[in-house]
Amino acid sequence: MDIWDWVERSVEDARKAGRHRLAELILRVPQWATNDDHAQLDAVMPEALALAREAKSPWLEVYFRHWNLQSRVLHRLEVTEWMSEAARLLDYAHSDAAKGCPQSVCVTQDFASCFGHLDGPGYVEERLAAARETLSRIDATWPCFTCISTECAAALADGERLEESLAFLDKQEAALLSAGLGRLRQRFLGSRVDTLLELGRPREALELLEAAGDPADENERLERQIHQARALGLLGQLDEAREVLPTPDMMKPALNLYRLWAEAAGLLAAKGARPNDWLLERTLLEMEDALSKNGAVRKAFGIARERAWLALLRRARTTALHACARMEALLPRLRRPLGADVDVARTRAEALALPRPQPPLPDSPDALLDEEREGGPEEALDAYRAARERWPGHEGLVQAEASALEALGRAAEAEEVLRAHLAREPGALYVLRRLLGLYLQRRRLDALRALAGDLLGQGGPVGAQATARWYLAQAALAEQKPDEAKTHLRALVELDPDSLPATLRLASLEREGGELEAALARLNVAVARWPEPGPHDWERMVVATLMDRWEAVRDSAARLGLPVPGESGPVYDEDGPLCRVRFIEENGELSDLFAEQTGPVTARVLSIALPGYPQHTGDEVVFTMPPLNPPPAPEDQGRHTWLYPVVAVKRPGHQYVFELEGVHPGPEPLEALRTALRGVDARVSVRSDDRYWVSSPLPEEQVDGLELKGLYALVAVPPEVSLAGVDAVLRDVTAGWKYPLVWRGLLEKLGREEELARHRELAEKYNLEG
Amino acid sequence: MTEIAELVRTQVDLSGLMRVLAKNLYSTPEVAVRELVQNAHDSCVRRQLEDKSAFEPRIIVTADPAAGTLAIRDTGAGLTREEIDRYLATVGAGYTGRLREQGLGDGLIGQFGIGFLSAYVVSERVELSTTSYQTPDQGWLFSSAGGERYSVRPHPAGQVGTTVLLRLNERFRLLSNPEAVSRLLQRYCCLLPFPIHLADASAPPVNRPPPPWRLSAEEVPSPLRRKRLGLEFASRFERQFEPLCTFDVAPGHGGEARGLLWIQDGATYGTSDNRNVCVFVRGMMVSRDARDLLPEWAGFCGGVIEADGLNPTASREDLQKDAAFHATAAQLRETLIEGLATLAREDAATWRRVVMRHNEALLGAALCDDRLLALLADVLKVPTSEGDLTLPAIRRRSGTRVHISTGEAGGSEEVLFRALGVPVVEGTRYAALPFTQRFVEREGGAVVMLGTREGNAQLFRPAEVSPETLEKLKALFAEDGVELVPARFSPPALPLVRVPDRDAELKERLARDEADKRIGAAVLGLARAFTATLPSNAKARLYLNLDAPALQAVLAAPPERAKEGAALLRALCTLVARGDERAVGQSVSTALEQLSGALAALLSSGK
Repeated sequence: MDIWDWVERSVEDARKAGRHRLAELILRVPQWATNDDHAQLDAVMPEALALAREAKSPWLEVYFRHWNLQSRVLHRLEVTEWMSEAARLLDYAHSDAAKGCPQSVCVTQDFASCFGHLDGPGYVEERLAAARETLSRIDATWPCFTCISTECAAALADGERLEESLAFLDKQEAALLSAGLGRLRQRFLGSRVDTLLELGRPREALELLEAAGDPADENERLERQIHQARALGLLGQLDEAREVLPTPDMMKPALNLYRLWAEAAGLLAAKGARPNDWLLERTLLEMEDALSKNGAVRKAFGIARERAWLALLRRARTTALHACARMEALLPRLRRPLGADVDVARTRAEALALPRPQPPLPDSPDALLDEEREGGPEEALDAYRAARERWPGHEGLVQAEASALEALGRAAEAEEVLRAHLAREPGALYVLRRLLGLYLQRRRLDALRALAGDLLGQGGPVGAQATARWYLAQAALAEQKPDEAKTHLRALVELDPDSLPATLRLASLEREGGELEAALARLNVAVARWPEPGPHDWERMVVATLMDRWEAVRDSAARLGLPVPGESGPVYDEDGPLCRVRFIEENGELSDLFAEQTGPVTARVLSIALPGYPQHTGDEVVFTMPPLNPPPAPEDQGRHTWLYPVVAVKRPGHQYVFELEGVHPGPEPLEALRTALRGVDARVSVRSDDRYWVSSPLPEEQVDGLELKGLYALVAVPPEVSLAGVDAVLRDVTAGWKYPLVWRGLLEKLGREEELARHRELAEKYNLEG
Repeated sequence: MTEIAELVRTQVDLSGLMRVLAKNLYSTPEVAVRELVQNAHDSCVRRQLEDKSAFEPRIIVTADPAAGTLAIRDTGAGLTREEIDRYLATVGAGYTGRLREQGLGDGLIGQFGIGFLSAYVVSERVELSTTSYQTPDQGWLFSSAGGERYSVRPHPAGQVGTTVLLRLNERFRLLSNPEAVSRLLQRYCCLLPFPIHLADASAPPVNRPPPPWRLSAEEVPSPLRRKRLGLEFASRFERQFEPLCTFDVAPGHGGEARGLLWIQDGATYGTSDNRNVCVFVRGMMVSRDARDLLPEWAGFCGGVIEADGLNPTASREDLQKDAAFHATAAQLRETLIEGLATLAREDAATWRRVVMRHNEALLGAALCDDRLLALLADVLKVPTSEGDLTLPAIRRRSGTRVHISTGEAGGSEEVLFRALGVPVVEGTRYAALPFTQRFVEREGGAVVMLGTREGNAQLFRPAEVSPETLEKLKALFAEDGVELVPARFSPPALPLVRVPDRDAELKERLARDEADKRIGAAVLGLARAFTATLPSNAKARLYLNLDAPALQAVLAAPPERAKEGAALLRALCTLVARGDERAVGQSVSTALEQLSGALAALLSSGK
């Protein structure tokens, strides 16, 4: 059975049926899966499944779900999360609906491989049985023959039956060759090389790698480089080995190769070909964390083992013990220990046998904190811990220890250190802030709430309570719960009336929630409390403008030294500068529109939007500070306009906008029209340029190719202006023009059916749209 | 030296090599122009190195469509009689290679000494007239058809330099079209330092102005003019689209390349791949389509770079995927991400156009890189039941929850979501589901996907009921294998929803004997071992909405009426699920019968 033949036919069928997107996805999904383009795969997977279902093709559904599992389980090792789906797909691929599906074999493999990744050595017998069962049903002509044979060899190798594994690969390769498929030593390259390296035969492994053709995909390329590095490392060719080993950055998407990489990098570090330092430790810990989280328990254990071994080599007792603790935590998740328990016990004993770190300490904790540390956070951690034994209450040391742990990729422990200190010293304000900040940064909002709640319950010192309130408010805002945030901020301001950030944040939340009186009262108090003008004055002007409390606007403007016209009453500057204002439309799109500034925090929109789009022209808006754009570069001074975020439309423009179209009358007549319309308060905005052409409406000019420069303009009319008056002006000014203009929208609005029909006819002659 | 032409046989089996060249090495005939201009260039470099007398290095290309010829003239070193034999007749023995061996060839392009052979691929006859600076009084005319044999005859000495005249094959007559050649030179040779003229030396050089990244800030101080030069240069290379904006590529991020990247001004779909990158090595274009230098997500980008550290393949039409290649790819990725961030910060109008044009492709891009996600989280739109909306806009409507539909949960899903009256993200469209999930992970809130345990828990808040009410509900709605869950949820107009439990269904199916016939024993054993670890749930849950007036009415009605009411509601449940029997547990026809029966009973009892 040639699956790829079926895939090609499926692509053809999909194209014939007009399902081009489906055809594209059939071809590209396997590429994304094997090249570790996981994000692309995730982006299309729901769509691919929906298209397969829409095409009523259970086989294609199996196909896409299989490739998804290839990415999720075989490449990303997301065993815990996807085992259910692998089982469901196994069931579906063997159901009546998908009967005969050519990929049902692959699906069997997907499911069995979950166990290989969970705990390969722990499931050797089951995996062998499953692979042999499948192999008994297919022959070498099936593409699955290679995959299943690879799995079988891997199971043998996991069972430490290495020679048997090699012999098995030889047998399978012979079968492939006699079926006329494949090149010698090419099909099972990865498995073979892996086994040879385990057997301590790096020279042969290297020869195989060097003789191999191009890798099929990115993942295979990385695998070969890692194998090559390890073989070269074993042969003592260290420079070449270092050169060829992929960087941690390149490894990121290839979780299936983490274990291999750890082994190769560890080997090179042990041989001095790369630093055996805290950076390698952190990389390995990140890899271990990722695998452990995904459920690839045995591989995670292997990396923890590697970390411990490297830490022992560099005599980093603390790290070695940390790695041991990780191994111990992973043990119960393995199906069978198979010696792992003995291994941990021995490693722990070796770690404990290392001398306790006794870094030299200066005379004071502050001197220690000021020291430059060459050995990185791993060494610093020992120093801070030793120092804390001498100066147990020092908050700076606690924070430094937490920072060192964070730098080592151990944020959870950093939290623990801070928490333990707080339990002993509830008044340690800096430590408290640091811990709450860490919770917020890691989005551990439940932990944040629990700690802050305890502090409030205990009714401790004001500083601690205020800090707790501030972070509770931040947590609420992170979850889009403004009312909850306001409750905490109000309590905070009551506890600590001197907190300007809390006052300002609360006032702006109150303003956003429509509680304008409360906000203004708060800001009036703020202005009295903080005589230096500042952001509280700007916020006060925003709120006061919304409420027409002009005396407050004028007062804050005066405090800030801003000139405003008039002595009292509404602030409205007829000659304000040009600016831009940003609206957030209903669908979330942003509209940046030109406007004229009418006060310190107000503007009137000038830009006219096309009909059918949100219309803001004439809107009088209130905006906040600071502007959204940076100040201009010196050479852009003349062209720069500030851009402000709109907080509210104080007076909607309600302007009526219609289109004015036809042949461009030339600059002078157009100016005359513009002037006449301005006389009735209507504004014209020309949108067409030299690239816009229309046909002539005159019968004598109806010749091919004759086109005239066109005009497309928008006219905005304020609500108080009579539309009939505007129509009259248009008729009056354009009377006698060789090519009349068309204003269908206005005529329709006025209900002038007869004229409308004439304009429509004309529009058709001009070849206008709509 | 006699006046008689010498006929000489070249020293290699050319016919075989030419076949390979024609078929594989040079897939496009314009490569011949590139190779010959490169030879002309190298000849000028050689003269600069060896000849101390002053001369003006230049290259003049003349295309004559009437005669069907193309001539490339240079003012370089020229060749002596001996050099003609040595370098034109021996593949792999180009002079350039020798200079390079001596460590003198930094400005040289050629590598393999086989460039000249490309001339034979496109020509019936190749004529080369040359006067060497070493023998300025003696000229030579080399002539060959096909390259296997050639003749060399003395020729009146001219200006020092070489002219190669190609008498083109009928197939490659296009190369005698001046416009086509001009375009070719603009693209292929735009980075060569010596002036290249078309037709005659008085015409302005086609390789001027130099690419914008080679112009210093003093030469072009105005940022606006720099921007325009960038766009003009980019549009020479971007074949399908207009460039919308450009980003300068400068050495850094581990790469040494210099050049330009741009965003295309054409709308794309999520996985459209219009990437194209032209790569120049030592001034010569070696690849027109090194798209893999750009990240997979950048399907809307193009670029031109020069990077002497990149290594061309033997055919000089592609690049080796070595460490330098990967370093350059990383450099371009970083440049692109930084460029987008700068654009967002400093040029809002262009940024918005980029976002509008490439919304879908950028959804995918944001998934690939957290920095892009941070940049794009608030501005990209996802498809929803109410049109395309940004996620902040969706959250303004639906609070902290974002509802996603993937059609996985059965027929009730769509009805429930539609009844909620909030926008529901269409999770089956490109990137919508993972983008929404990542947005919520980043910005807080919750994703609600019906049919998942978490989604159900978010939607249906379990409600406390008295033991009597529970009994009543059981009596009215109990079914085998279905768990009744009294709950409160929106909208109140929906009295009940039935959601299948996929794990429980799986467990039941695999436990059946018939599974042994379908699935191999060994793997089925593993599957059963796995499902044994799953919690034992009912195969479906029936969520009864205590906020629903219809359900309240049923609970308050006398027993007989209540029974009929419950049957009505169950039938309703089936019908809104649009015949998805997995979700409703009964067939549509049964539901219709039940509905008619219950309605008839209610109406007759009301008489």
